[in-house]
Amino acid sequence: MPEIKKCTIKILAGEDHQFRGVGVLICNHEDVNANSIINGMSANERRHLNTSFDYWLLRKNVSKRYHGWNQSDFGGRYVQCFVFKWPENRIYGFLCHPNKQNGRYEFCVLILHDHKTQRLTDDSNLRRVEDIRIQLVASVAQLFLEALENLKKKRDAYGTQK
Amino acid sequence: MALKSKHWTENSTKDFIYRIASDFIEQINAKLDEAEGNREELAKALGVSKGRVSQILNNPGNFTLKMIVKCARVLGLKVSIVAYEDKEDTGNRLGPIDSEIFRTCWNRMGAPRDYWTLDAQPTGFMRLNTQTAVGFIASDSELWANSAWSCVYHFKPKYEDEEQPLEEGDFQNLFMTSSKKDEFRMIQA
Repeated sequence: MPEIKKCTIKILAGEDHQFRGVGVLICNHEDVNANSIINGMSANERRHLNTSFDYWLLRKNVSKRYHGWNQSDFGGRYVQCFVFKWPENRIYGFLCHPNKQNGRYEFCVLILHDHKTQRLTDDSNLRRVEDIRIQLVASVAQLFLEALENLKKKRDAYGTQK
Repeated sequence: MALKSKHWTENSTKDFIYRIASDFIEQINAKLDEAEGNREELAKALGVSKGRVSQILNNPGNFTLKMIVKCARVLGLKVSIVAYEDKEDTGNRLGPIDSEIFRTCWNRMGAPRDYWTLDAQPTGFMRLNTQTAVGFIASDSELWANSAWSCVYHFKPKYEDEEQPLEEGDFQNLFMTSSKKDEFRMIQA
């Protein structure tokens, strides 16, 4: 599979949250399309996704909206993978702990969108996400830090304009 | 200085409505999952097919108060509209409190239906055995001012281990009884 080269993370939710956050990977790679899909969503689709992010941050138990995979699924190969769902659509990503100041902080990096029409999960999507996760393991903490700094700069700039 | 971000529900009233309607729909979905017949009942009440119910529930932005009440009542639920001051988040950086949290808190408080019962919530309790515990009230309400009252709880024998701490939700029924000052009356289960 193609190697991940230059990439960034954009934080979508939970940047000030104590325990959880959600972001999206941005890079020029055939398996990384979540950001463009999210940017092209209708207002209501985006509201649905934002609500799902909220619920995950709250630790609300709604498996119809999101879930991970445990050791008994696919031989435990995708225990770090995670998915946010809405009717006939899925956005796959992976979970990590990139915040060095707060080791408990769990971050979901969204990567791959796909349409879903069958009940069972397509293993190939998870495999693609897992491949990308492995490539990013060493750099995700740095990418997260840069994402936080970018967000801070944007807020500062917005504050100056006001 | 870095500015704190605002929650997405702060962008527009439509956004806020979508989120709180979603909270309500999650409660309806949970009820629908309890029994297959519930979906049929709801479809009948809304005058639509069972398949259309899912479509309606997938569109929180279109919910009206009338529909909310209709959906709730047909499933044996009630609805309250709660306005609250979130003192730690007046700027809405964190979004609205999930309605399920309000529901859970209400249940944990013994589901009080008036201010008499609300004021009578025990401030502590002592476990007597696996069947009985006695609760103590500290209240400045007029009702309780002139006599000592006790709350005696009859709770589900949920735990085998008597050392395990009780939780409010363990109590099944609430009995209240008056007693002389400093004397708590107990009702044996």
